[in-house]
Amino acid sequence: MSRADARAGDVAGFRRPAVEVMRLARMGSAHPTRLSFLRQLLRRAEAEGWRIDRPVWQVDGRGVGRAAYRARGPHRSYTLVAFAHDLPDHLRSDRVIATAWDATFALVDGEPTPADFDRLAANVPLQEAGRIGPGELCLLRANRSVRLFDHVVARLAGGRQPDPAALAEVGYLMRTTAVYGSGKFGAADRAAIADRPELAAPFQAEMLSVWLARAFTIDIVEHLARARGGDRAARLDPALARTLGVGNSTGLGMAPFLIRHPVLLNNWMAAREEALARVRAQTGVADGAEEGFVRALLTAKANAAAWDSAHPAQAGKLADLRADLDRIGGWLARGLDRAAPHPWDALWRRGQAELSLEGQEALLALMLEPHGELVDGLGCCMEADEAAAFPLDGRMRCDAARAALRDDYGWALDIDWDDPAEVARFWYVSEEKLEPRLGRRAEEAGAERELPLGIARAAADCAAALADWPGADPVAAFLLAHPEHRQMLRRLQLSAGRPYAEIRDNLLSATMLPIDILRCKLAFFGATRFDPRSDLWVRISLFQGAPDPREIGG
Amino acid sequence: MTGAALSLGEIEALGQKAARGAGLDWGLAEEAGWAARMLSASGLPGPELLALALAGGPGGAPRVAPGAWRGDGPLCPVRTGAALADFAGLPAGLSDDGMRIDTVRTPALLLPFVVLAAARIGRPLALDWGTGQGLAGGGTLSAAGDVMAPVAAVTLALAARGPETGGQPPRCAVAPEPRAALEALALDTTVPPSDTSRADAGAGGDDND
Repeated sequence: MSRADARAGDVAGFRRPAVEVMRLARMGSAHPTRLSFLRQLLRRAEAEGWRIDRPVWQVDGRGVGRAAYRARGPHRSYTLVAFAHDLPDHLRSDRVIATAWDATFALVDGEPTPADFDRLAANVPLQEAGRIGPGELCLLRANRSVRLFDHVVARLAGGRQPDPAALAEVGYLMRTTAVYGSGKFGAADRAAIADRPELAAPFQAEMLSVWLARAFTIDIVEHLARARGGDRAARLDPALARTLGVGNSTGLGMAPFLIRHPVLLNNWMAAREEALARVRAQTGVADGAEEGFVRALLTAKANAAAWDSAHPAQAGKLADLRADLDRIGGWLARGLDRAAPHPWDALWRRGQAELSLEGQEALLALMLEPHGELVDGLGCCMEADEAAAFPLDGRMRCDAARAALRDDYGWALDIDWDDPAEVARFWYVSEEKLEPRLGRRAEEAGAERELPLGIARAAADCAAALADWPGADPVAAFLLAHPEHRQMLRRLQLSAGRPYAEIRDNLLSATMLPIDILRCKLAFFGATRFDPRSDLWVRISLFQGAPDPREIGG
Repeated sequence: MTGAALSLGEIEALGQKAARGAGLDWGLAEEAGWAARMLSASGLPGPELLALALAGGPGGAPRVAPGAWRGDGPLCPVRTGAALADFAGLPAGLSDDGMRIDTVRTPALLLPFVVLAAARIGRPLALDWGTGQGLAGGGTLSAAGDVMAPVAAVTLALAARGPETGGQPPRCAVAPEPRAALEALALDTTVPPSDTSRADAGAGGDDND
């Protein structure tokens, strides 16, 4: 059948409802898809033939110095400046609060002058304690995975290749501990760059920074191997280099983002769900799509086999995933049911009936994979004009607000808020490190300074306060008397027409797992090898298996 | 006196935390940060105005009535501004006949909210606080005269035209004293450390793997 036929059908009827999609257990099973932000970056770089080179490499025999990686697209250039440091082992920490790193970086808008380079050399190594400016887009740093890093340097210095099993076990030479963009530490505001096509999709500058930093991680081990081994030293086999990504350590600090940016969250989810619906709605199987699905399944199985986690919950989910991928493979061995009115939907429905959440969300990613032509255009819908959604409409009637709360937040109103377990946790910012943390309400002080992330409880409180208010009054009058419900009413209004804006779970509950929020966000970035180190923080890999920047373009 | 340049995002975040630290509810604190950012984006001293407004302690909320809003003592510009935007086009809010508000702290801080009100009624608006004036419309604002006026009665009226488009470049340099004042207030949104909170913060121990 032709692609045009494949687009036929009533897509809306195949869309998953928010009550199904926006639950933490499912969000915490999310897999990267071809709409993930790093995939969008790689597709654009390839399609536009970006030219990527390394105009500066001034690094000494101890691995200390500076480098620049330049990406030139059709309209603009971006340059990652890298500062390589000699970090004593006792200062190496993944915590966002560390004060020294093995390497620090900034992504420059355009190409830095020597004066820019010197200014950045005085600031970028300080990270949070330094300042960058409107000519810079991102600030990041990375630490070595010491065990693997030293192994690779030693092997290459001796003229040998590293042990592939060791590479596979860790998966990266360095891991980033924070990637700052969007105006942080003086960087360019998102609004200043959002109209550039190459940066319009979310987090493209951050993804470009990490991709270029990955090239640095390869270059620095080769450099140190040459310094140690001289002419005997080997270059890292490109096929092995490709198996290495950039690691990332991420903790609670990332979790509030999805709650603070409901319009963005909606648009990410809506794009992915629309993509799934389009695939399911097809009345046939496009040429090559089934073969593409099977190829993606094989890749997913290899990834699942190499994906390891000691976290009990994740270990269980990995077992589910491996079994589910085998099950899907079994179904496909007999081929898709091409007699079904909607063959991909038939596969999806079978998955819903028989697979774990982990398997279902993996199936989603697999089903999008061979349908780039059908779904890739949705990538541009994942940005958000948050300022346009900010103003409240004070004219809304109080009875309409009550009805909307019942319709969109009924799940929150039905929670027993007198049960201490439902409000067991509170989110706050630590005075000491200015990082978000999660407290235990019954045991710790500070709940009076709680962050406003308990949306479910806020919805219930707002509904209770509105209950006695005259229905014909505008919410303007209600809010003048009750400014404490302003934030909730803003969320209520922007949720209209944005069904995926809200996580439909109680984020204050004793049973809430922050790693579920992290998993969802990281999957949208395109992260693989999600490995929780506790319920609060994770390690992941980015760009594993992706081409080196310098393999792309002319 | 000029200080270090902040990004607009930093101005918004600092303004929001400081307003919350000063005791405003979170929803209003969001609006305080948003207003400071919008003023700075329009070349005006947003953080400085917010610091001045918050320095006086909690200001009151207006008693709304057609044509004239009053308060017991100086009104909080954030609460008043939010109400101005909320009530625009409603009987108790701004109408074609204009309105008067007695007396508001840092009246220039009302301007971003007047932009919202202008959008709601579809007409450009002029804000006058005696020693200074502002225009709002088309999603933008401008001001002239004594922008840092600490407290004044204001009148709001339909304007013949909105602000010139493509006006001032953003003003991102924030004077040290108001910035320090906002940072001190922002610190009141944070929780002092405890052994438990340190232990629960994330990765611990040695990362040399």
